[in-house]
Amino acid sequence: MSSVKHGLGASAVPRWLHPLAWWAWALGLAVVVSRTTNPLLIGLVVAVAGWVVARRRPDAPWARSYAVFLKLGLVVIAIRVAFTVVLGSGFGSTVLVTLPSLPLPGWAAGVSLGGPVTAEELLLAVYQGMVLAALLACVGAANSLASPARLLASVPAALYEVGVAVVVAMTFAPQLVQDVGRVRTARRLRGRPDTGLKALAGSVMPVLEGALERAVDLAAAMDSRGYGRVGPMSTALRRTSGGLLLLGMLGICAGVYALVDSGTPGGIALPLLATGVAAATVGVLLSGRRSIRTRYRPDPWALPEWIVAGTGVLAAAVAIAVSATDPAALVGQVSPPAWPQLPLLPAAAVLLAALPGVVAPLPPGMMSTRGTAPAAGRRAPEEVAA
Amino acid sequence: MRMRTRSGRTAAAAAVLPGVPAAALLVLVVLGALLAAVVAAPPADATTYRYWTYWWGQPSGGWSFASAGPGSDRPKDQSVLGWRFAVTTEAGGRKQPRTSGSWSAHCTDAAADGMVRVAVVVDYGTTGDAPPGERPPGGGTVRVECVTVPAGSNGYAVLKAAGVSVRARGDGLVCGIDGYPRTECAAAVADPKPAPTRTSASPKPTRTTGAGSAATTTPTPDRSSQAARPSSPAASAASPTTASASASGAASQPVTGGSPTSAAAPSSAGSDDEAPLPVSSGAPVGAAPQDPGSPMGFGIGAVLLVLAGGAAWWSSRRRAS
Repeated sequence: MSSVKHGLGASAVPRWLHPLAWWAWALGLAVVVSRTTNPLLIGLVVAVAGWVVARRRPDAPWARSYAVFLKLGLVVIAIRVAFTVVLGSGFGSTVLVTLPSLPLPGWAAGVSLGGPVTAEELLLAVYQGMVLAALLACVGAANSLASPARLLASVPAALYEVGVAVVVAMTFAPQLVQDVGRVRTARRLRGRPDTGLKALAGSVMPVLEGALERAVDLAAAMDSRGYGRVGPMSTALRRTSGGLLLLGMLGICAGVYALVDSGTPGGIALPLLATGVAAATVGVLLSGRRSIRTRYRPDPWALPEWIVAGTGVLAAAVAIAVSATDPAALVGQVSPPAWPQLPLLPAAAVLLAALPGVVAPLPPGMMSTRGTAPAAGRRAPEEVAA
Repeated sequence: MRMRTRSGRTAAAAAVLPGVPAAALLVLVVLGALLAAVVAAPPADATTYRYWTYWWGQPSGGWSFASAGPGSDRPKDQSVLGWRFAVTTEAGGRKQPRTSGSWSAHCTDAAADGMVRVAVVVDYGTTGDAPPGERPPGGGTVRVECVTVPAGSNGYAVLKAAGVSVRARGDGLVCGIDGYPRTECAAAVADPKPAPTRTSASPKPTRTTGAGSAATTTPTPDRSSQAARPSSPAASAASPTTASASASGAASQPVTGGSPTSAAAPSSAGSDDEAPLPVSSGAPVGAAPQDPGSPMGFGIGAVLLVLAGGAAWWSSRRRAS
């Protein structure tokens, strides 16, 4: 046996990394983005996520969504800027151009059409658009890296029905992307235009229909394999677990509300939240006992998973800590406009989150980027290691 | 028989389950905690903030708290826009600019067609309200500027015309005026008390000498300063420095505990120096210049960003080929 079973990096046996590890990593980066408006830091997050996706995404069709999410992000920025130019926010004092202003009736007091466009509000619009775009990019990265079917397999049994719905919904987006490509190729082959408004009108229906059909197919396939079947369970146990779940969710909702609302006495929030989480966890574990299915080759949670999830969580923790102690470092200063500086500590944490691009094992079926040894095709790691 | 196979299967499932869901649950819990931390970002208990409050002057000379921000505010002719830096609770006790809110008290500009005459009043607040390590600029004066701006200009434009430099947050909240405070923006003050205790740092030495060895010599200057202080400023209550000194002194030394001001002072410590201040014009000498950030630092960051982006681009190209 030349390579380690759960080893690190491209030399390890190719295997699927646990999907929750990728999601934890991506959500950690999303937390970083949500805490800052510094364009340098946001750009760094997008670049790091893109690098990891480029190195570790599988060749599966659903793995091509990162570029699409990036383009979607550019559209978001453009829309944000356009709205600022048209509607204006009255923010800033460095007037670039003054658009013809439209008088509005008295009831629309807070809104103005046209008028002066300031450098500050444009910069602000770009920064805030970048935050949204980067959040999209983080979700896109997780979509590209984590297999949706494997994500479903790791959902706790109690949340199974919810998990199925979520996975069907999540496969819809990447398959939409795939279908767009398919329909466009078909149109090109038939000599019809594949760009422009007319092509869009002609391909919307087949694309939506195809994606929906596949999602329904997936649901049917899962149903035929016995997903969602429940085993016998005593009424008392069922009621207990259901009650605990409900109580837990209520506790979590109330706890989060108490945390957000500054009027609530501070001592209540955290205990409420902790109780809610504990009750929900016990409920999930209890109702998990009625699930009679076994897991076929469960994804292991080994060292690479710890590193991948850990770098994401660490980046998020650093960003939260810095925003609590030195909030100015994470703010992209727009009024007066200033050169954004890269905050050292969060930037280092984000760069560290590029580590999964090196330490994560290659997904099965992907050619090694170094070209040393071709990966082991579609065969499962167990067979290779044996 | 059927029962046995079923129980065997559940046992197998239970044997498999602990490994994966434990890790998965752990990740879920960590993510949940992170999300909670994200949501809970603003300090939950703090209802007191240290920020620039915005006021509209009244022709009578008084002030009213502005009901619109400077972005949507379109001042009329002969109006006064007042700014006061203060530790302010939502529940009242808002501190107004310490000069007249009447336009004619400050300005004498002649009316012009299509223009409005506006007075800008900037009160940098008290040392007690200053952020740690900073002092309000202006040297105990209120900055007043008289400007004439085109009708329909908003509050930001008026500030710019008056030559007042403003640092604002993305949502339009004014964070700093004339470089004060340097970096913070509407910092939450969890407990309003830190402000008085900070000022009590200076009188502390006199208290320790008073409470300490030479009880016969030091009480005299201590008491004399206490007696002199309340009468010197026009304010009704004692200034916070003497108030906190006497309050803490009263605890250790019964001699100074007799004055009724020491008992009343801590509660009214905020309304101390609300007396009108002299007026000055132009940027204050103590004002720190706005830091535009160094293009160098931005350049280094941008290079790093381009390198990371280039690496991502190169990797994806290589995959595609």
